[in-house]
Amino acid sequence: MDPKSSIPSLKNVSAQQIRQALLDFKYDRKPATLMPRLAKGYSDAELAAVAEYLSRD
Amino acid sequence: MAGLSRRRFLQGLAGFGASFLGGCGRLPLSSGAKAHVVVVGGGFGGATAAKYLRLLDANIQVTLIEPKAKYITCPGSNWLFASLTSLDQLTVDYQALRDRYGVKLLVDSVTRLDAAQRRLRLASGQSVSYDRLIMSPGIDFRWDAIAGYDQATTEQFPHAWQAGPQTLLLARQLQAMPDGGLVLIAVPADPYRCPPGPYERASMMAYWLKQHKPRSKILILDAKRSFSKQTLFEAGWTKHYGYGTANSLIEWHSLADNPLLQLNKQSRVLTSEFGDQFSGDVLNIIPPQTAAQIALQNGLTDSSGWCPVRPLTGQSLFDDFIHVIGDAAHYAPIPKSAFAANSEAKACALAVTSLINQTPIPEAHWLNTCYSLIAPEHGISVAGVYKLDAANAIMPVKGAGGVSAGTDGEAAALEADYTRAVYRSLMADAFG
Repeated sequence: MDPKSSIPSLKNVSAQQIRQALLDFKYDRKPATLMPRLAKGYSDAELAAVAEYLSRD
Repeated sequence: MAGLSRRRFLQGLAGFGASFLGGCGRLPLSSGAKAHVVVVGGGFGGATAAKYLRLLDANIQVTLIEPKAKYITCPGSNWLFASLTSLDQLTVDYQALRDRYGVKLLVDSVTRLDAAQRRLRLASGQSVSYDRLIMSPGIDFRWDAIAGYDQATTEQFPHAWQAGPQTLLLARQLQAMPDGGLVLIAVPADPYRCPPGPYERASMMAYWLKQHKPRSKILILDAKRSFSKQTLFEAGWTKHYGYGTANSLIEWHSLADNPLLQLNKQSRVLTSEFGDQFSGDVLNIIPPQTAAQIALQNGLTDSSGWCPVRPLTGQSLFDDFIHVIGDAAHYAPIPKSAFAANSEAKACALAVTSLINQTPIPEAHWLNTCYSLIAPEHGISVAGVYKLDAANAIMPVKGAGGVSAGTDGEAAALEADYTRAVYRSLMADAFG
């Protein structure tokens, strides 16, 4: 979306991939600066709902 | 929006919006609209609320009332002191809200709020009726805190706490100061807009002074005992600006027990309760704050000067049909930030849509992330996720949020990138 952005685009990323990434952030399987702090604020079901919403095109 | 394709929905709305409001200047209701929601204030809170109301229910007519045709963002405005941005780059208009989402824009200001009749009188003479009103009016300053510091005096000693001419004035004063000069930054007690803002400002000024006037000093006089992201800021200042040494570009002093009470503008001296005197080449006085005048004048504030709300819906405790969001509202422990205002606006838009459609109000979650730049390649952040507890009070979710964990150069550089990227994303989400 934004060519200058250092934040990876979610375009063409599936709900399943986003959900897995969010769960990996939450359970400290995937290191990052911010997302582990945020993902811990949500239940697994809420993260799945977020993934589903973000994957709509 | 359940089941609806997000992007296709937006595309469909673009065309619809044009025919919906194009050439239709009469208020209150266009035919076919089931309710009219008026949003007052076009900052991050108001813009987001207006946009998301239209996304959530295209049959709700939305009018945004904002006195300025263009908005200059407070986020990013400290970067100007390090010559990393310009006011132009921080300026956005409301064209996308109007053209893409069908928000009706009135460049006008509210002169009277008649809550009993649910009607606003505007400076242009026009009257606007509402079914629900969302107020996102921002802040105003308390001129009774430091005797001698008032609206007129800000032309000499800028607060620069609303981005625009004040920001430029402060930047020019910094640039005109002699090498070896002293900058005073007076910081108020909590709560105020953008808790880490004064310390990012000191960082950005120090970055510029280090290159251009390295014998200078910034003295932060703080009404608090501690401040947001203090450990991270102080580590960054040590790394970049000699913090803690005799030649440090930045010094921080708590005046929690000895507040600044008086300004003598002729002698440029600030005097504290115990009689300590402070002066400098540049005096940046950030006064204590309240909700904006319109909220104070219409009985939406309590004795704190801020607007108490029911957090689930944002409804004012004093009027069920008026919702208050953003810096003016009391959402503590959520800080007063643009990111938080954006989050409060979405929860409020969802609640307003539910109230209009008489459907259950969904559980609210709020999110905040505040990035600050210590240097162009050194960013830090604090984040929080918030929900309601059993007593319907806002609480941070345990185990989530907190400040930057990584302190090495790589993490700091990544977070500096994200500082800029998140600013662009927030702008796109609120105004684009």
